[in-house]
Amino acid sequence: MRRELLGLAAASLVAFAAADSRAEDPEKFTIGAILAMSGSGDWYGKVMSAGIELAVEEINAEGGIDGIPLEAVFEDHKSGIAREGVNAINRLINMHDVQAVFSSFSPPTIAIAPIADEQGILVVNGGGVSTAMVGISDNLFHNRSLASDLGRAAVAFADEEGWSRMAQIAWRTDAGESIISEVEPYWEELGGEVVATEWMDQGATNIDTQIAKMRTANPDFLALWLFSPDPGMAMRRAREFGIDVPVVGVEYTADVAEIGGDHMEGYYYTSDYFTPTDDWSQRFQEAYRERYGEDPEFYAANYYEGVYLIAEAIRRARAEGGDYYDGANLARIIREQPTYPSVYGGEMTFQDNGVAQKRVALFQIQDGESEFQRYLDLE
Amino acid sequence: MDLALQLLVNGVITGSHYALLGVGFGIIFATTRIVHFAYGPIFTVAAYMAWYSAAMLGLPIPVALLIAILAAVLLGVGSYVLLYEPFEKRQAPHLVPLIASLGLYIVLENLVGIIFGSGVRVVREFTNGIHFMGPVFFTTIHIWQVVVLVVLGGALAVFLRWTSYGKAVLAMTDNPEMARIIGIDTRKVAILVFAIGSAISAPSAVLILLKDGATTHMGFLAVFMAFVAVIVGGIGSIKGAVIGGFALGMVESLGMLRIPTEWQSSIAFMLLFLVVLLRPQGLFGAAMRR
Amino acid sequence: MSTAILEARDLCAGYGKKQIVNGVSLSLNTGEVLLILGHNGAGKTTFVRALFGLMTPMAGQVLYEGKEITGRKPAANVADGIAFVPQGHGIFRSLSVHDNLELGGFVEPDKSVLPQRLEQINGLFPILKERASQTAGTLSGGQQQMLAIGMALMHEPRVLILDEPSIGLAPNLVERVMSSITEINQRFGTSILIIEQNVPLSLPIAHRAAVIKTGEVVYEGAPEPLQDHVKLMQLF
Repeated sequence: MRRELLGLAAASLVAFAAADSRAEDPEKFTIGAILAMSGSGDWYGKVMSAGIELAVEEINAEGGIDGIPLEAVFEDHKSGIAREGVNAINRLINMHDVQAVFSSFSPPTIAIAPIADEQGILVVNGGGVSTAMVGISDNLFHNRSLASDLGRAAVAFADEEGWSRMAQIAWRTDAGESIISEVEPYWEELGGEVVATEWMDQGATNIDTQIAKMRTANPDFLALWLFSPDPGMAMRRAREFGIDVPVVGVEYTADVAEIGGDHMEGYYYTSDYFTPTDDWSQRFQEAYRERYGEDPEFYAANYYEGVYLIAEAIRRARAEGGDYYDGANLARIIREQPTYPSVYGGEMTFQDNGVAQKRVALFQIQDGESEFQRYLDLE
Repeated sequence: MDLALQLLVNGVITGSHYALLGVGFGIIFATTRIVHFAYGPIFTVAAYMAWYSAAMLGLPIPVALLIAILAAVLLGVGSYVLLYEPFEKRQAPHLVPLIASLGLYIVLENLVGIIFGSGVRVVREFTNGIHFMGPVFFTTIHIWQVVVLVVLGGALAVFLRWTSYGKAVLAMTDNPEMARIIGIDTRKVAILVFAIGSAISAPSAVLILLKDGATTHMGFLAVFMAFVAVIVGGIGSIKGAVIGGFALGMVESLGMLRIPTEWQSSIAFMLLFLVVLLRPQGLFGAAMRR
Repeated sequence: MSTAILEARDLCAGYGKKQIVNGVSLSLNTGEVLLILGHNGAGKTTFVRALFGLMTPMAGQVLYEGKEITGRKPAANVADGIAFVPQGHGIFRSLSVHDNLELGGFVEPDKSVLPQRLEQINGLFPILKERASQTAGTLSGGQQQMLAIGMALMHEPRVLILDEPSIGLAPNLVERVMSSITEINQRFGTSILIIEQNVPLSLPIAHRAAVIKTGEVVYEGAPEPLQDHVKLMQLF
């Protein structure tokens, strides 16, 4: 009798201990983040990692995901070098056994997609904008508007203003090329004309030739298909070389403001827009401001939100049971249950193409400040 | 026609900038045979020191310039005495200082990033005046870029031709062993050219700071263009470095008159390849002695 | 009895771990022309480079006017009155003849004496005055050699070391160079140490001769016996 009681007690102890933990639980959930930690785009790496770290801290302060802590490991793709991205994800898989990674910049994201498929890794992109990233992996999701969406919104605005002659300058990269290839046909459909197309290397400072050629083409407006910090450089050069017409772009960051200085006045740009609307977005802004000393912009918001996205996907997968902690499984969860809370306010829903739909906003720089104008509609 | 004129002026201006960089890098390379890649990040440090002095400490720009020059000279001479010279003493093959220089490049560039943080640094207090002559636009900094080349290039030419240390530099460039044999202290001359070459890069760095802002990786383009200017113009020839720099500047601007700017950086490379293929010693270089 | 102005005692020198000069003891007496012969690779050039300070000796001593100068840097030796004309036209090819000669007087503290020395050298080698503004690299081989010697003379050295001055020159030019060397010795009293491979044309100008073979002195004495081919073959 006593032996049976002891056995029962032992069994129930074990059962009790095992109740909230499983053989499939890892010691901690390690999420990789492949960002621009060095090179000309290191500003992005800085703010993206800030968003991630804040989210990880918050989640762990609440006890982690079902009591299991979260950890972020950062890798460097050196401002968008594809090969470095591949090296990074391999290190993350081999040394940290990750099942989910953040990516940024289009070239490394495109490069790691086959590995994500092969090894079953969930990839979340909150920064890269090239349309070339769509559909290349079932495990790839984007919680930002892609460049082509921003570009089309920009020219839609130009059309509304009655401008018809566009001089455009783009990065000689996937992102730049993808914008032009999507935007040009759309612009022409709206009845617009392209009077100049110039190219620049990412981070180049000598774009005098390009600006001079754009001026000669006599445009109604300039379109800057460029990303930080180059819109600032381009705007400054344009004004220095006597181009007075309106300028529209798809990006504005602290670095852009810094380089452009006073010349940024009047600059229009379309963007994903992070501004505190509800509870969560306000708490996020305050927490970010307190920790880092500056307000978060949307890149930080995307990656902060991304951590919660992955955490929620893990939680949902774990609830289903079985060998849940697997990248491909997490991706399936997101496809089947595509709606998640968004730090922008309310919820975001992932479309079939893996892109979470968000509205595109129009801003203009007035008196040195970025002023929200209105939301733009795209068909 | 208007465009051609504007591009011509652009070419002269950028050409002046590249030429000066080429002269600074070239005098070090020609005299010591050291490929001083760290020239790039030292250029960056000069810009950041000037930024710190002008924007953070509020010092007037001429003072900031002096500080930048001082910083560049210290780092340049330091890299010779502490890094390259020990290798030379051990008679290491020429590849070794080159690799050491690459290492120094990486260390310095990262240091700048750690100390000053990422993100572009500008001097807000400075306004770059805009001028125009007919259809051509240019800014105050552009004028300075040309002036600085003329003044420093001219001063260097006079120094080399008319002072005894200058002639020692020319001698060592021509035949380092013979220079030792006639009694030139080649160590002193090496330190001198590192000081001069580094000092020359500082005004360029400050002008770029005022024109474009400073970034942690601005040194890459500086040393790359300097290197190409020297190869195109001919190693061992100051005149060659100037011509090489101008060729680069012109190709980047006037060369783009009819060609899409998509090709801009490729053209610079093509020029380099052409010269290396057809005339390996550069346009004005003497055949290399070792 | 002449005294040794430049003396090597058991001098050992080489590159890296490889020793080439194995304990050479030789003296150059004041006012004499000493000829050093030997086949290729015997160590003659290594020897004089170690003497002059272009290499640091591995062992042994070098004395100049009785005081030790072992391993002293070339710059100090030049300032002290030793000149070296290296093998293969020691000149600055891209500079003019005039600039080359001027550089020869680089260590001369009193620059005002240089024009006069230049005149003397032009007297010795008139062709240099003719071609004063010509780029040195465009001179003929013989002219370049004269320029190299002229450069060495610019600071009025008491000792002149020449490493194979006749190399690559036609016989008549070699004679010209050899007679200039004799003239320098006799007119200026310069003690001369000359390394040569061309035995017949160089022996006549030497007061004494030495033969170095595999890094060691195998003969030191009067030059006449070496005119005997057989003896020469034995030594080489």
